[in-house]
Amino acid sequence: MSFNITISTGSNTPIYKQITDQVWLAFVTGKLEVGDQLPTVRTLAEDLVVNPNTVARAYADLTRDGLIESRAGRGVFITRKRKVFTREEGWRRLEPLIDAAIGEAMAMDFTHQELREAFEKKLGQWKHVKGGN
Amino acid sequence: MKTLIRKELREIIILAVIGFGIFTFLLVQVYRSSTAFFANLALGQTGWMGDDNVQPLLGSFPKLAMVCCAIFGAILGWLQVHNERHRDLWAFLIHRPLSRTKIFFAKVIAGLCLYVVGAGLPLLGVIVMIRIPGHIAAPFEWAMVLPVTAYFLSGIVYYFAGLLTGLRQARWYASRGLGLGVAILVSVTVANVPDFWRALFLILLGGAIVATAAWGSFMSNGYYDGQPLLGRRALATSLMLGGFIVVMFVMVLLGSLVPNSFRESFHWSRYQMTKDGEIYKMTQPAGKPLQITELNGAPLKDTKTGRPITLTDFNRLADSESGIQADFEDQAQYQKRHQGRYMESSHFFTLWRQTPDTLWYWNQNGRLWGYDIASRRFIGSLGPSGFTPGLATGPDRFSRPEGKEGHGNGYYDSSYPAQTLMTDTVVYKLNLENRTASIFFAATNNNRIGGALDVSSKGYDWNNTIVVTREFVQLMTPDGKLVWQMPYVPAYPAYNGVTVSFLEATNRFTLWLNANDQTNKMMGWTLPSRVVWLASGQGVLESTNLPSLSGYRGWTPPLTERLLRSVVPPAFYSAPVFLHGMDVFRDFPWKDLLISVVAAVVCAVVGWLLCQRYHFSAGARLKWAGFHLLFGLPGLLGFLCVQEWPAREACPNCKKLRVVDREKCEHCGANFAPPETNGTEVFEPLTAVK
Amino acid sequence: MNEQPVIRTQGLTRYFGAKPAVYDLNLEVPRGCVFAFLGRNGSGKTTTIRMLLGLLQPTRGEGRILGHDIRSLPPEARARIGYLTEEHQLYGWMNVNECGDFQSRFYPRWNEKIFHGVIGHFSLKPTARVKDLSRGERAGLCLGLTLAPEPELLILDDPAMGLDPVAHRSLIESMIYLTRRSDRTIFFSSHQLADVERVADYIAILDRSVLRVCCPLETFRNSVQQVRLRFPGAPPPVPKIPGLLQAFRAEGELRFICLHYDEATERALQALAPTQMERVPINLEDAFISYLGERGEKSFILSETEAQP
Repeated sequence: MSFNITISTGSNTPIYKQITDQVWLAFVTGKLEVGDQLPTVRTLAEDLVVNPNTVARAYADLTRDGLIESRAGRGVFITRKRKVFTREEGWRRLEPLIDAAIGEAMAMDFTHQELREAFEKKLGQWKHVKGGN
Repeated sequence: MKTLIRKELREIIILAVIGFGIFTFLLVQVYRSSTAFFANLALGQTGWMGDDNVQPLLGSFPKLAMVCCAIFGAILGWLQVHNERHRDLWAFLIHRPLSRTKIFFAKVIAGLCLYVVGAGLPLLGVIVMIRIPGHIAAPFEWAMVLPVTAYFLSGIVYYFAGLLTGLRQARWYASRGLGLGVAILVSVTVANVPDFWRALFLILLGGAIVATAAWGSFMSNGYYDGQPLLGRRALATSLMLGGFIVVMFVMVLLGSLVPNSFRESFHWSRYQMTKDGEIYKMTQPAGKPLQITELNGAPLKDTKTGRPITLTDFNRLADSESGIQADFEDQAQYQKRHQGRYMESSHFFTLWRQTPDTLWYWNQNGRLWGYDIASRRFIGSLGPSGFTPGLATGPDRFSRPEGKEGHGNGYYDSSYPAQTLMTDTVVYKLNLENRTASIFFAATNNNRIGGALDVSSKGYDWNNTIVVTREFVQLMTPDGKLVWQMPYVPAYPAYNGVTVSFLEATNRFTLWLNANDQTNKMMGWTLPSRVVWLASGQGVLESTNLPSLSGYRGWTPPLTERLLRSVVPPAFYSAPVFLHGMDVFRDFPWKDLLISVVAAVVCAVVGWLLCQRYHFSAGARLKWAGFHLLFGLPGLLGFLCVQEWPAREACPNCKKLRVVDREKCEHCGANFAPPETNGTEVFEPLTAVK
Repeated sequence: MNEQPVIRTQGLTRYFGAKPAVYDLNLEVPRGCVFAFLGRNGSGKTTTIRMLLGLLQPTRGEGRILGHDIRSLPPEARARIGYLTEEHQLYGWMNVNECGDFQSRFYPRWNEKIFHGVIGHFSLKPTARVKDLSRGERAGLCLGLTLAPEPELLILDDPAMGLDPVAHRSLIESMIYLTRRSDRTIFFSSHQLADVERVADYIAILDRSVLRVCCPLETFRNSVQQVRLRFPGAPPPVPKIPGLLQAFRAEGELRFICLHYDEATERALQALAPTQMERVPINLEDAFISYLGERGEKSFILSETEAQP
């Protein structure tokens, strides 16, 4: 598995969120596929040198979101079992991220046009988006 | 615990070795100077050494031991605590699954072992050297080891005092050292009690107090609160005793600020005879110059100047007198009463005479012990029935030589014509060259000997011996011939002072018979002194009774002493009873005790008020009041040093000042206010994880 | 599993002279967690720890550690508590092996493998004398001595002070390693906020001898909010807002860091009439520092002292 998680302290993002974000990012960019195994809570905690409860919380969130599941005795695996979000929940999760991106872009004086083009380019690069362009 | 002992040993062994080295070095130096003295004697150099110094075990070694054992013990104890002075290292020591008492014991066991080795081995070494014949030409008895042993054991008290000093967390650094005061007190009392067992008792008592105080401080990291009860009591007692020393010192200092406060004032009066047989009176009034007057009161004038005679001139006119305190008690009883303290050499022997090659000591077993100067070996002992070579004992014994009473006046005076010794019934003349004793004078039947004194009234040679029997006082020549004999009237026991004056004119003498002070006091000082002028061969020439002057004697203690007496705690007035038994009540200082009690009451009041202010419980207040009543100013000082006075804050409810170490206000019973919130608190109940 | 908290204090107070170093502390540390105890220097953390371990008598109040009264901790309880001090003090004349040997004789449950593991991890020579070790090496030795008896409760007083980065990392790794056992609790005080972010489940903050925060780490993080207000001209004076921790003034803007941001706070800020108001994310370190620092408007520390141009 060529997937590595790194966390940093002193970030605006809590550590558990950094973990979930990185797992999501890896899944979405294809580094992780359905059926891949993730490290156990204990292993990842000692690897990252963080409290196992933090890792446990990250994994709990990922399980709740339906990305991973824990199979008894064998470990933690990527899965895409079901859509667990309602549309509203999904938008609620997505909107802050869009706001953040737009805010950064505006602050750096990118124009709306430049931003739209960049967005389209990214969409083209991503393979796993449903209902593609 | 063994691990801890080993670790402690390893940590302080260097100090122990240094102490051992220094102590051994000093002891060896003293020992060598003692042997050097004897070596010089053997080379023919004359010299004298007091009784105290001729046997170093009774003279210089105890002094050295007192100082060295004290310093060594105190530093050892202090260092054992000082090693963990960093609070994190202290935490490392304490925070382990071993009870604190056991940790304390481990330290003490290690410390005491090293003390015993470091201080005890050198002492043992010198004792062995002295015991081995041929090194010190002075009597040795195993009981002579006791003074040095007492100081050695006192060093253990210093050890615990050192521990206590290192342990105490005290705001005033000086109060940390108060524990040493107990040890100093033990040293002082050990030096002054009559026998070793009393000294041992005091050492054990003082040691127990300081050791318990040290243990208590160890248990509570050096603070007073939080100690076990026994520790607190012991600490208060220790600091009180230390405070006693401090208070004494301060009083002496205060006294030194007042001029003349160290001067004691005497007043006395006595008769003095001149060489021509005239009696004059010497009177010393308190604070005024000495007066020398004729019996009618007129001042004696110097014939050359016409002004009152000076003391030096008068002394030139004075006669040559020798006196005996007659005593007809059983010799053994008498000796016991006059034996001196266990620390004094007079308790064991007194140097009687030195011949060119032998030193002769009168030993407390009544025999003359001879020591060969060249070889420094014991030769044998001489008694009334003769010399027993090689043996220290024999079938009979001599009484203690006249003029060599106990109480530390044992300076060997080579001008003293020690020639005769007596038993209860016979005066013997001793020939030390031949080592024989021949009968000089034998009393008949019930006429026991009450005293015999050799005199050299002119120059240094022996020319007379005074013998006092129940019926007679007689003067004899060295050949055993009678010069004169007078009836012993007024008789013993009312009159026990017999003095013979040797007048300038040949064969003229005066006999003085003085009353026993105690009897005279009981009779209101009405017993006169009897004076008899006589000439040998002619008998009594004249006699008279002079009114007794003993009652005129008085002594006012210096101001410092009076100050000191007022701060001695009432409880300490029981010490004389402990030391001297019940007959101390005959002359008990009741007035001083009263002053002491008044001072103690004042201290108790001050203490009570302080307890009130800090709201001690009723029981605590009573206990401290009792403590102050018993121990006076030192007790108050100990109380102040021991307490950690809690801060006081205004009560949120009743606004009065209350101590911070109690949950409920002592005035209104309310609790303390919880801390003020400022709107930035974040609290959430925590659940157990997993 | 025992549900009793491993540490519980009620009204724990300690005065030094007339000033309280710890005032009315009510703390509960649940079993099995990693608990960070924070506060500025002199706020009473070490005093609290020393009271908990029976090294200092409280002036008032009660405390229980592993169920035992702190005023009379029995020796058996001490076998279950590991204590790592700030200064990592040991006997200078002992060498590493002697330290281990010395300590091992006191504890019935001494795990030699752990001790040698830690020693090896810090690359300590067995014959090196303690007085010749560097601070980090001493810390490693102390850590080994503390961990080898496998204590149930580990109390660390500023363990990372003075450690180099490698030793520091090893220390944190050891703490994580300890959490393998769910009955082990770690209670530590620290100034290293990065460590706290990594390993702490719960935090407590002592502010000038008073406990003001005791909650899960995320709760604290979520309670602190940063808001930036923009103004057309010079920003107005800072109003009194409940829960305001710090405010920063710059050209045309005010930045507020507040606790418990709610509608009242929002209204108070809106009343200043900013042109723009937005929430700015804040990281944990800045949140701590603004919590522990002086309240009110902040300027950079030396800006007043610079010469005017």
